[in-house]
Parts: sequence; structure tokens; C-alpha cells
Amino acid sequence: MSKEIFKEIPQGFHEQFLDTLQQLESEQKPTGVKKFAVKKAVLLVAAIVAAMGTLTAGAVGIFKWHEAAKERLGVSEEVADKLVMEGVAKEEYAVVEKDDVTIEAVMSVGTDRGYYLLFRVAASEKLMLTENTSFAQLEVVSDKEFAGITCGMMPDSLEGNAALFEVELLRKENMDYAGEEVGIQFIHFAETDKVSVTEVLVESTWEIPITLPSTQESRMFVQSGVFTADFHQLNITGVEISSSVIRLYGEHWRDLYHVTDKQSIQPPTIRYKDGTLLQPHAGVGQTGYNGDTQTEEGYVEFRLDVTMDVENVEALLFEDCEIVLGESMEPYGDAFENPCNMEEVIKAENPEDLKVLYVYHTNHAVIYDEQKLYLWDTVCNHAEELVDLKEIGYNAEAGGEMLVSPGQMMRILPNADSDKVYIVRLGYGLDAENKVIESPRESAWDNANWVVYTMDVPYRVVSEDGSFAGMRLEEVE
Amino acid sequence: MEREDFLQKTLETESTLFHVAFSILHEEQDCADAVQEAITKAYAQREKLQNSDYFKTWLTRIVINECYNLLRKKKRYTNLCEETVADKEYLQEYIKEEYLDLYQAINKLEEKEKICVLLFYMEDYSVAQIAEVLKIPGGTVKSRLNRARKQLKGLLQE
Repeated sequence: MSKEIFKEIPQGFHEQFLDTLQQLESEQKPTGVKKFAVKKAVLLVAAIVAAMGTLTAGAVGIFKWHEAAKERLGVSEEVADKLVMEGVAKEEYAVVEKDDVTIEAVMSVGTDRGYYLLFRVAASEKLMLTENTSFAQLEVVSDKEFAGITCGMMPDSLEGNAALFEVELLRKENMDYAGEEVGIQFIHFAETDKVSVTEVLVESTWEIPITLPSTQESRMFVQSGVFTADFHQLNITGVEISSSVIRLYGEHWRDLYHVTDKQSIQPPTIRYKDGTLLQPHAGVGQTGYNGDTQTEEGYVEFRLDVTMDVENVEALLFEDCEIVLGESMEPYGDAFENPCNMEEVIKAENPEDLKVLYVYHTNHAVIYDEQKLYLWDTVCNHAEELVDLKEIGYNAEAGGEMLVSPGQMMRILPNADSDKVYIVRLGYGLDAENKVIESPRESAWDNANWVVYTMDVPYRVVSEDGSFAGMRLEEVE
Repeated sequence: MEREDFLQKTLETESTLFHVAFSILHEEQDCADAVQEAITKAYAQREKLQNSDYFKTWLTRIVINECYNLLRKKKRYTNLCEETVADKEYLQEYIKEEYLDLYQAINKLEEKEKICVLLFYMEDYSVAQIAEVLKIPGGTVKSRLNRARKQLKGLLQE
């Protein structure tokens, strides 16, 4: 074997590489402008996430879901209507006609990952749309960054000299895009093979403005309980629900795997606070699984064919057990009975130096300064030192990172060169015990297989009188 | 390290950085983004590199870390990557035709073994250099290469 296995470095990579060096040479920070090459048929079906009510039931009839989008997103009639009422799905009207190509926005839908946008592309008689024509490039003009973009002509949608074009914008965690105006730029109409442009047919740029619809962040419940399904018992540590997705988090992913592997769990019936029940249609929900081999943390996922009123869900009723949401939420350790003086625990000189890494259960916050990481129960005014950041060599400027997973498990990589990762596991319930585990970086960070929650949380610590007793969390606009 | 020296040495490693990034990410644009981010970080930390002899292994390590960072961020969409690697037509853009089967077999290896194989056989890194890049003992590198060789043999005979 030799390095001859690779062909020449692609031009696009080479150009960005040289741009980076040139910008460093001129002491500019590289701008990181991302260009997304158009790929065909790369969209995955995403789950829908519902949100705030914006339309009346009467208005729903006016809106027509495009059948192709409905099929693509796996939306039932009932869910489709509800999404329109809740402002998650909306019809788009913008059209741009230029240089023999007409692009018409059809609809936009909020999903659990971001936004699904559907367009109709038509060409004049001078141009021929085929299965191999598309756009050379797609760019999104926006003040906000997206985690990624996938796009392409919808397979089998060619009709006459027109076809459907799909775009999926993946949102970053904890970032709100609702109402954000973005410009979708279609650049150069071209002949393509499966992955690259073979010939540019029309050099031009078409831009369509879209106001992104609503989505709603999912709600997370700290939970202790046993989930029984198909003779397997799982210790549940958390439940996450959004309008059409339920995730049960547990610590023993292998057990979760065995359960999902059987493919026999039906989606739960949802019980609301007023006692009414919502029943997904049997067999329509999906189960999925994602797990972390290092921490044995994982989840079972159900994607439903109905939408839930997330705020009013009281319990999830499975065939073999019932999970009452939030029932087990209790303060940490013995803090409730023995509140302590914050000053005894937190030696920071000024609360303004403290940053919030993560907030959960509405009143528990993981906070840190340059020296230490603390757990803070904001109701009981109890704080506990979790990690001495200075001692483990944490330095954000040297590549140190702190990330949180959905089960409130944190991982700390002290710096880019560290061969160790510190995993912080928060206990729950009255016998709570918080643990910090030192793990090899290789398995716990570099090769970890886990869903990342970033520390980009909309809170900060403030203290109006400068005292620790006066510390509170304030939501950042 | 002086700026000019940094830029020159980075330029010399371009192909290695692309090959390493591509083996992890499989998407050209992702590779460009990860390498750009890595170079920017390395540039900011270049004063910390005491011995410029280690520049290549140092920068390679940062690129590998950036690639994994990017993968983690894209965790939910990794099945796209799997599809990409399985798509010979796509790979032909980057890999010579006669090596397609080999490349796909390498990609079936565990991540930690794949990186060792890539650096050792394709980028001519020594065991000591790989150990430096991955921050693992040289013996571990050897055992991974050994295990990878056996697996590759089996995969290519299938």
C-alpha cells in the first residue's frame, strides 16, 4: 500500500486550504464561509416538532400540504392539520423568475432537526430539466449559523419541465430560529452526475426569501423509574418529549438495545393532566436507539403519528408500565433539609465570573468559573463542588471543552493535548451521589458515540447585591 | 514558531491532512471545514510547539480531533456518511479505481485501527510518529496494525 491510493486533492478543498493560509498570512481570522455542494436525494425523513398556536382551525382548510412533502415527512392527515394550526408548517409564496429558470417556494416545515423547505423548479423551453440537472451550489444567507444543510432534487418528481427541490436546514442545539428571515440562494443551474457538477448550463443566482416557521424545543424530565417492556426492565434516568417524539433515557444501553432489537414495543398512550388520553395508532410509531458504549447511556425513541400537547402531558402509558413525568424530581442530596451557605462552597470572588454550563429541572444549574465546576440547586441554595478545573488542567483556550449529554452527564476534555476525559455523572433523588470518573480520552471522547448537547444555554448568573445569597439565574434575551 | 514557517510547513502537509480528514469524514466539504478549523486553532497555539520537528504529527493530531468534533456534531446524521462510503461511484472522485475495494475494506475497520493503517501505510508515518499523533504507546500502535492486517486480509478475501 502507499499514498497513491488517493487521487489528486480536490480543487474545492485546495482553494479553501489556500484561502485559510492566505487569511492567516494577512492576520485575518478565516471567515469559514461554507459552501454546500448540491447532492441528490440526501434528505432523511425528520420528525415534526410542533409549537405555538398561530392559526385558527378554520384557517387550516385554506392551507394545502403538498402531497410529496407529506409523504416525505411521514405526516398523517391529523398531524398535518395540527401542524398548520400550530404554525409549524406553512405555505410559501415567493417566486423568482430569471434566466429561463423559475423557482417557486412551496412550503416550509419545522422538524425535530431544523427546517424542511420545498421548492418547485421549472425551466423555459430553452432549457431541459432532466434527472441529471440541478444547481451547482446552494447557500443560505442568514445572520444565524446552521449545523448543516442537505438539499437536492426530489427523486421521481420530474413532471414536464419542472421538478421539486428539497432543502433541509439543520439547526444548532439551543438556538431559536423561529421568525428568522433567511435567503436561500440557488447558484448556477447545471448538469450534474451523482455528486458533482459536470457542466454549468446557466450562470446565475436565484434567491428566495423564507421566514422560518416555529419549532419548539423538546422538554426533558429527570426521572427515576423502571420501564418494563417485553420482560426487560430498564432503569430510566430521563424522559424527553417533543410534539411527536418520545425518548426514554437509561443507563444500560445494552438492555435498551435488547428491547429495541425485539421490535416489539408499541408507542405509549399519552395521558394529559386532565385525564384525557391520546392514542398513537398501533404499529405506526417507530423505535430507535442510540447508545454510548463508554457510559452505557442510551435511549429508546418513539416517533409518533400524532402530535402531543407537550405542556400538558402527565404520563406515558406503556403496555407493561406507566411513567409519570417529573414525579421523581427531587432536590439533590440532603440539601433540602440542610441548606448551606453558598459562600462556604463557592469561593469565587464575583458571581459575575460564573458561567452557566447547563440548567435542568428548572432549578438545578451546573456553573463554573476558571477554577471550578459546581452543581447549584437554586431553590435550596445548595452548591456542591464537582470538579477542580484548575487541578485537571482545564483550559478552554488550549482546546478544553465541556459538553453535556441529555441524561445530564457531562464530559470534560481539559485541553487539546489531554489523554484523559472527566465524566461527571449527577445522581438524582434523595440518595443522590455525584460522581466524577476519569476515563481514557480515546474511548470517552475521541470515539464516543453520543448525542451532544452544547453548553450554549440562555442563562447567566447574576447577583444584584453582589452576594452569593443573592445569586440567581437570569434568562438571556 | 514564526508565522512564515508555520504557513510553509502547513502547506507541505496539505495532502496528508486531506487524506486523514477524508478517511474520517468522507465528505469533501466537511474535510475542508475541519482542516480549516484545525489550522486556525494550530496557528493560535503555534507558540506552544517547542520543537518544530513534531509539527506534522502535532497538526495531524489537531486535524483528527477536529474531524471527530465535527462527527460528534453531526452524530445524528452519520448514516449519510455510511452511505457515502458504500457508494463506489462517489468514492471514484477521490480514490483511484484499482484501490476502491481496499479503501472500502479499510473503512470497515474500527476507527482507531483505521487511523493507524492510514497513517502507517498511506502517509508513511513511523510507529513512533503514530504513537505521538494518537498519544498512545508504540506497542498499542503495533498491535492495532497487526489486528488491522488480519481483518483486512479477511475482508478482502470475502
